Amino acid sequence: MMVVSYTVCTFAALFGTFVTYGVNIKAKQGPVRASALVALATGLFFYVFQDVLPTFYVTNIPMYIVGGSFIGMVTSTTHINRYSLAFSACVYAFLLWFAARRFDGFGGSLGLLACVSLMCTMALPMLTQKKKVTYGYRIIRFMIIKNRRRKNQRV
Amino acid sequence: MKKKKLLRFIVILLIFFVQFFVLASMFEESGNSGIAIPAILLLTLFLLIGAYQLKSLHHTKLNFEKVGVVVWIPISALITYWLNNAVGWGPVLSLGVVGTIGSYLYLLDRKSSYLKEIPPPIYCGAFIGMSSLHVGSIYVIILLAGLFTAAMYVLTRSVLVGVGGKLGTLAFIGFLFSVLLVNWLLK
Repeated sequence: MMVVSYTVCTFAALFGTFVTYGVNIKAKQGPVRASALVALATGLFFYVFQDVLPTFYVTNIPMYIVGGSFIGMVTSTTHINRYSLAFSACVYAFLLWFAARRFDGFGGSLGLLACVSLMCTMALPMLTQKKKVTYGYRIIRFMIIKNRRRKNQRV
Repeated sequence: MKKKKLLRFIVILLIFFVQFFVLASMFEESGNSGIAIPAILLLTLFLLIGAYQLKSLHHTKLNFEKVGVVVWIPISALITYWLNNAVGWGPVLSLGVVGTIGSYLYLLDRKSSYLKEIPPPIYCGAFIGMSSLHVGSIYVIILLAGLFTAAMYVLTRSVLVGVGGKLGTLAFIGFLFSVLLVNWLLK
């Protein structure tokens, strides 16, 4: 039962992400309107059918859809494609499922988790890149050399 | 210029620490749930640290948002909280209503550049209003959170550019500071 609920929540996050991304980028409505329209439709649906649907879904699914819609608000296309968006939504669903209870009821916590999941996805190529250690070593070496040059110039 | 750079560095550090703190809290609470969940959370933490090294996340040009735009953050926060808790629409519907109205405000005057700039602050404020805390001084907390978030919003125009969830993160930071301040004052 737990697995089914978790899977449904993950799909809700994926739904929110891709619908918002579609309205935002493909329909060119902008991130705020795209996310707000998704939130409005979701809120209306669960407000009207709150007595028909199971309580667990009425309470939780809107949070996953809206959180997913925050991910879909992304406009930076440098590190994002449809696969990374899907991965972000899955990470978000995981983070919200295991979210710390001490922040329950805090405004903005869904957005924060969405931001963390998106940033983690953006950083993922760092792990998959070949020669990452060598590249990191090169950056550090470059920084040291740059600092030395600056010091020498001051002297 | 140096002051601006320092200010931006402090803001980025603050955002990072709050995100780190939330993830660390999750890590702490997942203590009894085996090894897999803490391991994934740890990996997320490392990836988050790595993400801050991506140069494309922050603009090199230092810009600050106008104060006239961010005054909408506390206003929309209070309206959303009222719709959410007093009217009883719930957080998502209230967010949707306030956000949608905000995003269509430009229809009042299509030539106004001001009306085109205010939807993001309105939406950011609406995140604060999604709170479901019920304490005596909640409206003060929401108002203070709106003001803190407005200050953060002014400073973060060239930070985390185009990243989804940035507005929510700012709202969370404002809310956290507001709760801490009110708790400290009431002691």
